[in-house]
Amino acid sequence: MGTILNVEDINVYYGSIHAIKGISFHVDEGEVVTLIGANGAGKSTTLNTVAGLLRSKTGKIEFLGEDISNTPAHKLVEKSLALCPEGRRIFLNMTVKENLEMGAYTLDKGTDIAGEIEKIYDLFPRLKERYKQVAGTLSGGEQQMLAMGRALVSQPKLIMLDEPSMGLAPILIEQIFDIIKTLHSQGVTILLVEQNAQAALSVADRGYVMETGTISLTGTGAELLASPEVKKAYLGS
Amino acid sequence: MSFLNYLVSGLSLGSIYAIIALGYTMVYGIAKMLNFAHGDVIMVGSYVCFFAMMRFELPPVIGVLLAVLVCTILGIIIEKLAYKPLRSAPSLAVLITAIGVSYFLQNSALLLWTSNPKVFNSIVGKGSVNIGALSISYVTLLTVGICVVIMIVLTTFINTTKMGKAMRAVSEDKGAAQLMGIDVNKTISMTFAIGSGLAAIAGVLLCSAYPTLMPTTGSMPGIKAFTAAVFGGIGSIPGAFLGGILLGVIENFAKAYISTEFSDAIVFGVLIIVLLVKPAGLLGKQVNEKV
Repeated sequence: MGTILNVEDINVYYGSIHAIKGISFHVDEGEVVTLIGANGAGKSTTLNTVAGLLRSKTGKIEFLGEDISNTPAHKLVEKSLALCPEGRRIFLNMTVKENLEMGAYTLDKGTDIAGEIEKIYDLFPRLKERYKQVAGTLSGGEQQMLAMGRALVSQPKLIMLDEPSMGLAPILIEQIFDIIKTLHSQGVTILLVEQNAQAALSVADRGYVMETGTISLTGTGAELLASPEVKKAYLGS
Repeated sequence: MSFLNYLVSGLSLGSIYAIIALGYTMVYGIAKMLNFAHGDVIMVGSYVCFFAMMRFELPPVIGVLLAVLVCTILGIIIEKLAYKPLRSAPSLAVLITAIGVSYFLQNSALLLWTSNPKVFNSIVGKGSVNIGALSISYVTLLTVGICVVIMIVLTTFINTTKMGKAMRAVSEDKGAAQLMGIDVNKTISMTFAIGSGLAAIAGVLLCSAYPTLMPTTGSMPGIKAFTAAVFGGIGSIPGAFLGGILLGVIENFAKAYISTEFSDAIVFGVLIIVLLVKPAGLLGKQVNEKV
């Protein structure tokens, strides 16, 4: 099992605000790793930096052994790194199928794109029922499924999920986490950012707890679930 | 039957507005900026075609193709030099730059080609088709025909090709489009290329119908077409067509039945009323985000 993603000592600023203060972490092949923490701890900033939407002033980000610290965001998909962004950000005026086709944008001309999209439909049967519908007319849960499906079409080596349960009803949150478990059992490597610490830690192999731009705690999912600090701060007990 | 004649010439003028409006609306949709230099690209295209035909005595088809080529390249260069460095600047800075580019093009034309009006020879013959009392000139037929062809080709391109879909994705959400692997800069450049190429065609058709060519030739049609794009719903391609055609027809009827002097005031008055009732324009998009 090799390391897929290795992040070393990154520092990210928004203007004069020091948002990420020298954090390091790694994700190994086949793992589900979660970053948990309160609102504003820097979880999304970390994912956006790995995805190339933001830049770190120091350190390096290695993906599959290659330094990607300065690679533009649109080139990373080709390198097999996908981000399913916070707030879903699906293309609301395009149909479900067109959204999935956009996910396949970087696949080679010869690829069986219809076949790849079919695999996504197997994972999310609801999307198949609604493939002709304009994405803006989907329910919140369906939109989240579409966002995840869109990120998965290109069969990335690492998929980063930013708050997939945000704003969803409890039953839908359960469904989303079931899908994460399914993906895990299929060997997909996942970096998961969540405010729902309980759910995230119960599906994760390992986790990192973030606090105002730093990593304060790390351990296996089970260890963190049992940790008194995590319990007190994030699990409400 | 004069009503029909006014209608046909209105459709012709409206087709020209529609082709120009496409450039405004596509650039707005994708780069979220108003390219006020667009009207002056029309003028450059007309001069290129004029010199190709008059000085080098090339056939009109070659003249038009040269105009399209020059304007396409000009559009890409303008975007790269003037707008790209301002990608994350406030929109007011971009707007002022666009006005600056407009003046730059007009004054360059003034230096190169002087302010003396040139008489543009129509790219098609002077004849006309007569159906009863209705007389339709070849230029009118050509203009409306080209507008319809552009509408069909462009709609198909946007809806079915990979590049077209990528353009729609960028127009909705640049960040998300990047996460799909779409090169946003390349897409914006492509949009300027298409819009400017269309501006060249519009310029040639405009000067074929109204043969006076000056460095300021593009300004007024540019502003009218911008109005047409807003009228139809800026950012919407069908809206640009609808807005362009309606504007042309309204302008012509206003000239014919009310007053030539007041025709522009009437056109802009209609725009104001439409925007009061439908602030997003006739076909403007209004999507509500779901939670």
